Amino acid sequence: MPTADWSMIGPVLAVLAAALGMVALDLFPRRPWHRSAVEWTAYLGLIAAIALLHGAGEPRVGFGGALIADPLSRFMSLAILLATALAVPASLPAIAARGLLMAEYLALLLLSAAGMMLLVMSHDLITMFLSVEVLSLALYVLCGIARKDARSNESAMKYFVLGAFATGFLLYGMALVYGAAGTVFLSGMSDGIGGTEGSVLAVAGVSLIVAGFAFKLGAAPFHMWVPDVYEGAPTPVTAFMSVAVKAAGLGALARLLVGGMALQADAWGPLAVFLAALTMVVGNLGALTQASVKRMLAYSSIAHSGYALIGVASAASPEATYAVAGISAALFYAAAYLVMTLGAFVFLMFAGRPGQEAETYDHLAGLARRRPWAAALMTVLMVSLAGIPPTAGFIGKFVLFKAAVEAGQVGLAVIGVITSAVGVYYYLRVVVVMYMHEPEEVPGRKVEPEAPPFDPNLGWVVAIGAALTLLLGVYPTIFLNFSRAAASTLLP
Amino acid sequence: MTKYLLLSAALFVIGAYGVLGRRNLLIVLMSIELMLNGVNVALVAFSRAHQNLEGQVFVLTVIGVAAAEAGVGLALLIALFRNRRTVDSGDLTMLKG
Amino acid sequence: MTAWVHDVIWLIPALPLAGFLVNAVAGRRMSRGLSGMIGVAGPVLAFVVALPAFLEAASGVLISQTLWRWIPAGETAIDVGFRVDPLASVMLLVVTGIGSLIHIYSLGYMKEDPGFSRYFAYLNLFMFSMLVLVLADNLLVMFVGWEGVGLCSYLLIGFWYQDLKNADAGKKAFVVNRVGDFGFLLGILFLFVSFGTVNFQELRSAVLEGGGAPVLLLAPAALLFLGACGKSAQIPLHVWLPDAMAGPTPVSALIHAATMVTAGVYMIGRLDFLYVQVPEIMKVVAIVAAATALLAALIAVVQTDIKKVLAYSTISQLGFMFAGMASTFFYTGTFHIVTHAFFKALLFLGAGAVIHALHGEQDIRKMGGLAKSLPGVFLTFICGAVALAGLPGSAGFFSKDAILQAVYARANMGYNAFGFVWIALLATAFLTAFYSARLLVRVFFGAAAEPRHDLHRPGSSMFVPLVVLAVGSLFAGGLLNPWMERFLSGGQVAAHGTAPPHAHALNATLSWILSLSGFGAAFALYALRGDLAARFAESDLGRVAYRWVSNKFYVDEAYHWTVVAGTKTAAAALWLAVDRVLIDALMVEGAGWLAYRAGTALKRVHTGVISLAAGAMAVGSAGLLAYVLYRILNHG
Repeated sequence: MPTADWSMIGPVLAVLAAALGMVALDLFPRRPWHRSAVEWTAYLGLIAAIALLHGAGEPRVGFGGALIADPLSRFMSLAILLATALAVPASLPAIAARGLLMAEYLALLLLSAAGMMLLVMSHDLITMFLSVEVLSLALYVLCGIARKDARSNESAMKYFVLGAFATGFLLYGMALVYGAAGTVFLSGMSDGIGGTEGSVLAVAGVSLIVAGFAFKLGAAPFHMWVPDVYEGAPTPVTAFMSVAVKAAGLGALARLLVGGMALQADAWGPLAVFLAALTMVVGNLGALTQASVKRMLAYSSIAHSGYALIGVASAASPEATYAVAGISAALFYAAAYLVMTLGAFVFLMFAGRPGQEAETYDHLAGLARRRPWAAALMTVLMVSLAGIPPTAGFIGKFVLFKAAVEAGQVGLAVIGVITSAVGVYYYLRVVVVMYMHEPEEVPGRKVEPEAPPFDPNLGWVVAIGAALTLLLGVYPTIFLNFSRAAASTLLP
Repeated sequence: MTKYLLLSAALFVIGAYGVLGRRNLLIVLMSIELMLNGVNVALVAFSRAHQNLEGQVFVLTVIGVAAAEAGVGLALLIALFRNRRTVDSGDLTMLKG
Repeated sequence: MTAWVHDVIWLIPALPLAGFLVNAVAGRRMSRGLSGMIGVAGPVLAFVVALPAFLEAASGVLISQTLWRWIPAGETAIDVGFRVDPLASVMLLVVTGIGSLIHIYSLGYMKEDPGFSRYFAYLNLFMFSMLVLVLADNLLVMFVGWEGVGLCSYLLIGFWYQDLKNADAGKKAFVVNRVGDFGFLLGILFLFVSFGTVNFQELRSAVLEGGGAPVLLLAPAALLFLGACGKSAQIPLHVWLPDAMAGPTPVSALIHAATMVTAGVYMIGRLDFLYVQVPEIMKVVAIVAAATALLAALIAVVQTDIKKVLAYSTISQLGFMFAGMASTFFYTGTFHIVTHAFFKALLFLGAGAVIHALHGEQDIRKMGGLAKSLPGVFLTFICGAVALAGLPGSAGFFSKDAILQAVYARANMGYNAFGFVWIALLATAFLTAFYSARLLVRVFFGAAAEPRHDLHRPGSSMFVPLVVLAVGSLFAGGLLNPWMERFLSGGQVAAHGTAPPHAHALNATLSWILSLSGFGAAFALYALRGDLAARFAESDLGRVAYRWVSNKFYVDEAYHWTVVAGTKTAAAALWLAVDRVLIDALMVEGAGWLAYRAGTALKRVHTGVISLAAGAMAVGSAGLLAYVLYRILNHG
C-alpha cells in the first residue's frame, strides 16, 4: 500500500489516535492532572487533524478505490472537526455535573467524528455503510451516556431502534444498487446502471438509499425521532450530533447522488424535491408550538435539513452549472447551520447553571438584564437562524433559493421563503422573552436575582458561534469559493 | 436469481413487520437482525450473478457491523431496564410532542 | 472642495454604527450625558458627511464606492457598495437631518427613562440600517438595510418591555413585515436570475436596453411592490403601523413617519427603470395607493388617540407618495417624502410634547385648551397641521399639488384608471385638511376637558427641533418646488409624455379650494360652534336670543346627526369591518392562527411512540419507492 494513501487519511488517524490515547490514559491511576491531560489529548488530536487537512488540490483516490480526498471531503472534514473542537469544551461542564467518565465520553465523541470524516471520504458503498455505522454506534452510546438519567436512556433507545431500522433501508438500497450496477465503487456506478431506463432495481435502490440518508438528516417523514432524541440526550451531545451528523450525511448524500448517480438524476431529483418541501413545512410548523427551547431547536434543525435539501434537489438539474450551484449552496448552508445551531444549543447550557440548563422559554425570561452579553450573542444566533441579514443564515438561504430558481425549482424557493417567514416567529420569540419579559417564578426552579455562576468555556463556544455567524454573513466569499470548489470537483 | 431476491425481500419485510408490530424491545432488536440478514441474502445473490466478490465482502462487513450493533443495542437495553424496569417500547413516552 | 467625500461615503452609515457599538457595550457604565452625547453624535456627524455628498450629487457627479466582494456566486458577483445619486442624496439629507433632530429631541424626551443608553443604541442601529438602505448600490445590500430597519423598529416598539402589549405590537409589526419581505426577497431572486445582477446601474442598462421581455419584469415588479406595501403600510399590509404607535413617540416620528415607512416609496423610485416598463403593475400600484390614501384618511377622521390619528394620516400620505410614483413622474413621490418628513416628524414630536406635558395622556377628547399653556408647541404644531392640510403656501401644498398634477397628466395619457385615482386623491386632500384642523382644534382650542396642573413643559432640547421642523414645514415646499423636478429627473427615467397645459391651473385651484374648505369645515364644526354658543350664553343678548340660539343648535345637531355623523359612522364601520376585522383579524391573525393550529395538530401526531415513528419511516420509504417505480414503469 503506497504511503500516499496513508497521508490521505491523516486527519482521521490523528483523531483516532487521540481517542485511543485518552482511553489509554484512563488506564493509569488517577492523578490531579488527569482531567486536563485527557482534555488536551483531545485538543491535540483535533489540531493535528486540522493541520493534516491539506488545502485545495487534485482529488485523489486511494485504498483501492475505497476512499477519496477531494475539496468536498476537506470542506466537510473541516466542518466536522470544527464542530468537534467546539463540542469538547462545551461538554466539560456537563461531564462534571452529571458525573460521567471524561475519557470515555470524549473518546466516543472523537470516534464518531472519525466515522463522519470517513463517511465524507468514502468512495464505495461498503466504506460508506461502515462509516455510517461507526458514527452512529458512537452516537447511540453518547445519547445514553448519562446512564442514571431516564430521559437519556429513552433518547438513546429511540435513536438506536429507529437508526438501526433506517440502516436496514439504507443497506437494502445499497444492495439493490450494487445488483443493478455490478459494482460497489462510485466511479463507474452511474455507467454500470446505464441510465434510469430498464433498471427497476437501480431506482428502487436509490429511493431506499435516499430514505436512509433522509433519516440521518432528519428529513420528514423520517424525522420523528429528532425532537425526542435531541431533547433527551445530554445537551452537548445534542449540539454535536445536530450539526455534525447533518454535515457528514449531506456530504455523503451529495457524493453518492451527484457524484455516483448523475445519470439517474430524474429518479432521485423528484424525491429530493418532495422531501425538501415536506421537511421545511413540518419542521417550521412543529417548532411553532413548542414550549421547550431545546425541542424548538430540534424542530428547527429538521426545518434546516429541508433547506439544505433544496440544494440537493436543484443539483438534479441537467445543467452542470446549476447542479454545481445547488450543491455548493447546500454545502455552504451546512456550514452556516453548523455554527449557528451549535452556538444555540450550547447557549442553553450557558444561560442556565451547572446541572440546571435553561430549557423552556420561561427560563430565559428577563435574561437580557441579568446577562446582557449572553442575550446579545443568542440574539445574533436567532437572527441568523431566522435568515435575516447580515448573517450566515441569510447568505445561506439566499444562495440556496437562487440556485433553486435557476434550476427551475421556483416552487421550492417560494415554500422556502414562506416557511422562513413562519420561522421568524419562534426564533424571535426567544429574543422577545429574553429582552421583554420579566422573569417569572417557575415551579421547581428558583429564580436568582443575581447572575448565576456559569462556565466561561461555554461562553467562549457561544461567542465563537456568534462571531462565525456574523463573519459568514458579512464576508462569506472565501467560504463560498471553497464550497463551490468542493461542488465542482464532485461532478463527473 | 428472482427466487433469491424474493426470499431476501420476504426476510426484510418480516423483519420490518417485527419492528413495527412488536412492543418488546428484545424482539425488535432481533427483527432488525432479520432485516440485515435479508439484505445479506440479496448481496450474495448479486455477487454470484455479477461474478465478483464485492458483494461477499459487503456481507462480511454487514455481519461484523450487525454484531457490534447488537452489542450496543443490548447494552442500551440493560441501562434502560435498570432505570425503568421495562423493555416495552410503548412505555417510552417521556419525550413527546 | 467636496471631492474628498468620494472616499468616505462609508462613514455615513459607519458613524451611527459606532455610536450603537459604544452605547451597547459601555452604555450602562457611562453617565447619561455622555451616553446621550455619543448617541446624538453619530447621526449629526453623518449629516455633516452627507452634506458635501449632496453637494457633489447636486453638481452632477455620481459617487460610488465599493467596499468588498460579498458573494462570489460564480460568474456573477455581488459587492458591498454604496452610491450617491440625486435621489439617494435627497434621501440621505432627509434621513440624517431629520434623524439628528429627533435624536436631539429624544435627549429631553427620554431624560428620565431607565433604559436611556439602550434606547440610543437601538436608535443608532436604526440609523445605520436606514442609511445602508438608502446608500446601497444593489438590491441585496438594500435588503440588509431593509431587514435591519424592520428589526430595529421591532426592538424600539417593544422598548418599554414592561408592558406586554407593547411587545406583542412589535411582534405584529415584524410578522406583517415578513410578508412584505417575502415578496421583496423573491423579487430580488427573480431579477437576479433573469439578469444575472442585482446592481442598480447594471440592472438599469440591462432593463432599458431591452434586456428582458416585459413578462420577465412583471413578477419581480409585483413581488417588490408587495415588499413595499409591507414596509410602507399599504393595504392590506398596513395594519401594523397603528399598532406600532405603542413605542416611544420620537420613535414613531423617526421610524413610522419620516424615514423607514418611506423606504417602499424610495425603492420604487430606485427601480424607476423597472417600473416604467410595466404599466400594468403601475396601475395596481396607483389603485392600491389611492384606496389606501382614502381609507386611511377616512379612518383618521374618527380616531381619538392623538398618535393613531397621525398614524392613519401617515398611511394616507404614503398612499399619496405611491400614487405619485405610479404616475411615473417619480420626482413627485420623492418630493412628498421630503415635505412629509418635515411636517409629520413635526406633528409627532409636537404630539410627543403634548403627551409628555400631560403625563402620558393620548386621548384627544381629554385635551383642549392647550394653546395657552403650551404656546411654543401650539405655534409649531399649527405649522405642521397647515402643511399636512396642504394649505396654500405650505410645504405640503406644493408636493401634494405636484402629485395631483402628475396623476391628472397620467390619466390624460390614456390610462383611465388614473382618473379614479385622481378623484380619490382629491377627496383625500379634503379629508386630510379636515382631520388636521380637527386635531388642532381638539388639542389646543376651546376649554380644557379636565382641570390640570403641573404640566411638563418641554425643555430646549425638545423645543429647538420643533422650531427647525416648523420652518421646514412652512418653507421647504416653496423653496424646493422649482428645483426638485430638474434635479431628480436628471438621474431618473423621464416620464412618457407631459401634462396637458390646463393641468397646472386646474389642480392648483382644486388644491386651494379643497384644503381651505376642509380646514374651514372642521374649524366651523369643532371650534366656532362652541365659541359662539358660549358667547351667547354669557352676553345679555344671550337670554333674548336663547330661542334663536337653541334653534341654531337644533339645526347644527340635525346637520351633525345626518351628514357628519353619517360620514363618521360609515368611516367607523369601515374601520371596524375592513381594517380591524377583515384585514387584521382574518388575514393577519387568521394566517397566524392557521399556522399555529397546524403546528398543534402536528404536535398531537408526535406521540413519542417508537413504532409510530418507525411506521412513518416505513410508509415514507414505501412511498418513495412506489413513486420512482410508478415513474419508471410509466416511462419505459
